[in-house]
Amino acid sequence: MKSLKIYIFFIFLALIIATPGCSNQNNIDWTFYVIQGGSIDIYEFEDLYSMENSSIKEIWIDTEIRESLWEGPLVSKFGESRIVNYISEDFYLVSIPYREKVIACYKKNGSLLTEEDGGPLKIVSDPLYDCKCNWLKKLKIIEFIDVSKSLSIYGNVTSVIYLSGRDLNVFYSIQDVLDNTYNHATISQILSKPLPRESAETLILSYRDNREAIYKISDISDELVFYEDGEFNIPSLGIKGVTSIKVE
Amino acid sequence: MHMKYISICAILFLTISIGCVTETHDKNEYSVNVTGLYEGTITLSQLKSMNSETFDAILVKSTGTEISGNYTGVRLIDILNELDITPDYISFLAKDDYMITLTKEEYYNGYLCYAEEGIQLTQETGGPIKLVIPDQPGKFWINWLKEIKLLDYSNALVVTGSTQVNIVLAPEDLARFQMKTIEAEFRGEMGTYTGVPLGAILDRARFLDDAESVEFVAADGYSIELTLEEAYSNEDIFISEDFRLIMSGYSSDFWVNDLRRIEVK
Repeated sequence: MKSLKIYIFFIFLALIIATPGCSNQNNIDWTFYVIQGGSIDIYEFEDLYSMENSSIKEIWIDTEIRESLWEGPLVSKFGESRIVNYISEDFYLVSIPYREKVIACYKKNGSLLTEEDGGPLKIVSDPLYDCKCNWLKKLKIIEFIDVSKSLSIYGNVTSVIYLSGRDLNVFYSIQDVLDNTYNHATISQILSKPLPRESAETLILSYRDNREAIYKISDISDELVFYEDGEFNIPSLGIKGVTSIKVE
Repeated sequence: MHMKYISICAILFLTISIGCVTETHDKNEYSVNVTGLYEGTITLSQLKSMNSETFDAILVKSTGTEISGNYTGVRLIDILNELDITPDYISFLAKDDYMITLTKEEYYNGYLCYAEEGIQLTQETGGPIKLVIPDQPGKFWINWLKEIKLLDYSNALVVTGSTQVNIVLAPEDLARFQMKTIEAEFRGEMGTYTGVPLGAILDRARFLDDAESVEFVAADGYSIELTLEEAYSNEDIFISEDFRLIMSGYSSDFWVNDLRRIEVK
């Protein structure tokens, strides 16, 4: 009888010890969102556990050459479009072609990501694609954008980006992106995402009917860009249907 | 007589020993490989023996964060001038497999640096040799530089035209994409072909909204043209590692050998 009590005690003890460990893995409070077309799917962190994982190997160097294995589901499992935008909790935004191998990463070398890693959820792209500047930390939004209705910014910039109409809210808050609260942002706000290089001076706006307009950045940086009826417009300049901005 | 032999043997031994030590030292010295239009190496000591400059530069990260630094190194253009080559493009490769390809305008103000804040670069600080380009964003600065690949139309495939990004690829760079293998018929015979889907390359080049067609130009000037829609959406059009345009389902006239330029129009 005494030994039975001891057994029960140890089983009870084991359960107490094991429970926080399990709940620690399952109860990470992190909601992220997948946007495609007009719909928004809401995911909780634990949803990742039931998805098939893929992995990406990274070589990194300090005093030695080391390897890390990053794991998580392929982003292509969440939706499809030519370009995918990723937005972090602190409004960092990157645009990556859909065909590139990208994972919604929540594990590194078998353990959950730490805050220092960029956790609990980050983007890891194939190291053979572009730079690790695409490895966006604290991922909140995966957006499969309709390129035909997007505004791309390229040329003398640090990173090429595409913005959907909804992405104009990235200058306000994550909730505003989800609610699609605002339909406008200034040109200087928009340029803060692709980050023009030091030598950049001019913007070439391509707009409806293959027309172009050239401006000095400093002359129009405060102008507002509106997204209305599926098009980007700059009413103060009388320009409608802007499809791209080339920075020179 | 014996003493003479002993002296000669000793001199020979010393000479051989010094030779061996020097050779071992050379092999162990850090060097950057130069490939493509020129084949050779640049050792750390060669770099240090060249005319160097010490300068201030600001590293601008993709988040906009700026980090000031003081660097010592040799102007890349001076090194290229010594080789008598100023290639249209240079790919810079790092020990962690990072690679970036820059145009002449982008790499022109670059330095191969071996010291930061007056202290020799170590592996921990991105050395022994680091590429620093003061007028370019941080993503163009390369730590742990291991190879400089000199490229132009004679040895690379260039994707250009109505694209947001120009892509320049040496044959081995195709391995940086997801490869695909298919069975295809060429001149009545089935064969197995491996390469990169054209769509993946066009995605990296990010074609513009007004682009309508794609022209494929071989080294000998032979060319074919497809609509962009056809070229982008057909998963069975791809480029093999020997720069051959594989056009599964098309007549042999469409298969372009020695491809050198893909022009999006």
